[in-house]
Amino acid sequence: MSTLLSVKNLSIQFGGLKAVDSVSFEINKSELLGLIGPNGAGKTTVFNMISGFYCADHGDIIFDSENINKLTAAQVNHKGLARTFQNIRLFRSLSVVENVLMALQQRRHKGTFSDWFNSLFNTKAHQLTKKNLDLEARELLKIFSLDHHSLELAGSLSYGSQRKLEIVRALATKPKLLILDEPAAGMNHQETEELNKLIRFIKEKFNLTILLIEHDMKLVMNICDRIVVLNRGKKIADGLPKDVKCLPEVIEAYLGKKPV
Amino acid sequence: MKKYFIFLVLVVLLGVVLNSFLNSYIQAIFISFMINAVMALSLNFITGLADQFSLGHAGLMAIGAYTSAVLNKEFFNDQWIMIPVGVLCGGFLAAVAGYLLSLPSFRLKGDYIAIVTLGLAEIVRILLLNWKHVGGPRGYNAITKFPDFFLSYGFAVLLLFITFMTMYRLKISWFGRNLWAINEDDIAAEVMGLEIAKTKRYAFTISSFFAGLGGGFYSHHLGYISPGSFGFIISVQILIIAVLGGLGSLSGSILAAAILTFLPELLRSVQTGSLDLRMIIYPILLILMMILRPQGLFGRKEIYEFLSEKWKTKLGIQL
Repeated sequence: MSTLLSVKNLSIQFGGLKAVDSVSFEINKSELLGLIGPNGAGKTTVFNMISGFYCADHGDIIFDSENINKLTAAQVNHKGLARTFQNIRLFRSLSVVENVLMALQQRRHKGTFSDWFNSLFNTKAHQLTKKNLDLEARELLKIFSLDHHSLELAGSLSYGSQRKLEIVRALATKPKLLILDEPAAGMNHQETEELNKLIRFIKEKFNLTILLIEHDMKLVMNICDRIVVLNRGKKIADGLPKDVKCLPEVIEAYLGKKPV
Repeated sequence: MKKYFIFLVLVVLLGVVLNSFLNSYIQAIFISFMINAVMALSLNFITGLADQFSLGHAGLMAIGAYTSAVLNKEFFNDQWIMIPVGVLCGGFLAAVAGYLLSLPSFRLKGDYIAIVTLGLAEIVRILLLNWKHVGGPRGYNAITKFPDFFLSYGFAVLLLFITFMTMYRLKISWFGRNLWAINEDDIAAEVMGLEIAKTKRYAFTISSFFAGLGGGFYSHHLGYISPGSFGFIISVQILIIAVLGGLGSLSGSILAAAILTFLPELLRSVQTGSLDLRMIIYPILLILMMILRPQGLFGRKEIYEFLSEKWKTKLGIQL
């Protein structure tokens, strides 16, 4: 099994707080890795470093045998890494299909001279590209049965559908690795169940590698192939869900020490 | 092609009417309207579509105006035939200035952009005030005009048409969607792989170019410019037009430019003696506007989108 992403000795400090301290882990191709830990453990900080929002003080992030540590968020995306957000960040007053189009078009229009020329003079080539992009977006929406909402504003969708759309939008950038930041946050039991199915489905369908941060233990234990546990910026466990669940360090991190 | 032909016929008809039935005062107002529309479109592109609040458009306009005027006097021997070349050069110089400004400043967001662009406008104004060669505070005089109203009118229409079409085509294309996405949520846009600073820079450069064009033609329309013609208040006036039409609505900007150019002139007639009603009615209209339609006349939509939606809800039919 080959490694897609490997994080080595990653550290970052905010003022006096060492938010992440020498964390290392690896994700293999087409694996679903869960990253868990109690509040403030540094999970989202690790995410932000991987996706290019923070620059790590120490350590390396190797994606597809390239160091992506110093890249910006946009460049990280170009390498094939897409993410969603804990608090949904859709383009709320754009329609559903426009949201997907926005992500799709980044691959097609890179701002070359012919891009500008074609859109300024509305050439045949431009109309064709536009039509193809539109078709592609609608097909993608159809897979996730969001197509009958395609002209509604993204902000007017139900909470569950917004989550789904955010994942669809991330998929539209054609990633190799998808990072989901607490996708089940704010969802009820039934919605979480659907999300469970959705994540399995996209993993199969697009042959993706997924890194998942989650609080919902049931979801994590259900779908993850492997789990990494963080506490206070340090990695305390790494292994199969059923093994990690029983480790005393993990139980301690979540529930506290057993009184002696 | 048909609609462009109809447009051309209408433009020529209007030109003939203006030329043969109306006096030069009204003709001049028409041209001012078109210059205002170009300026408002240029501002709307950066403030409306990309949500970068610019208060420096008077400065960019001044660069265009002085470039065009000086070029025409010093290098083109006051030939009116060279006016378009000068105006174009003015546009390019303004674009260069806009691009240079945007290099460091589009790491900033929101209000800070407004401060930086305001700084640009002030720097340009004060440079011109102290530059003896272009007249300093006395201004630059006797700039070549078009010899005939028709030429002037034709050039103004052409300028407005090119500005509108460029911006409209960009608005409905991938570039407009990128701008809109940045406007909505820049972090999400960046994660989608969009280079935000670069996109904003392009938008500001395009906007500057058209501001320069508008300024260039402004100098040849009035025949006289001074640093005082490009003060802070001009930036604000352009902003008022763009906001009234609706930020992000290009056709709205044109309509608003028409309203805000013709209205003060129409209100001159209600001036009685020492009581200047014009200065009362105009602000009252703006206040009413803010209360009744804070998003501007058309919001983000173009006029035809706005109207077709209105009709759809009123008649309950699919258009």
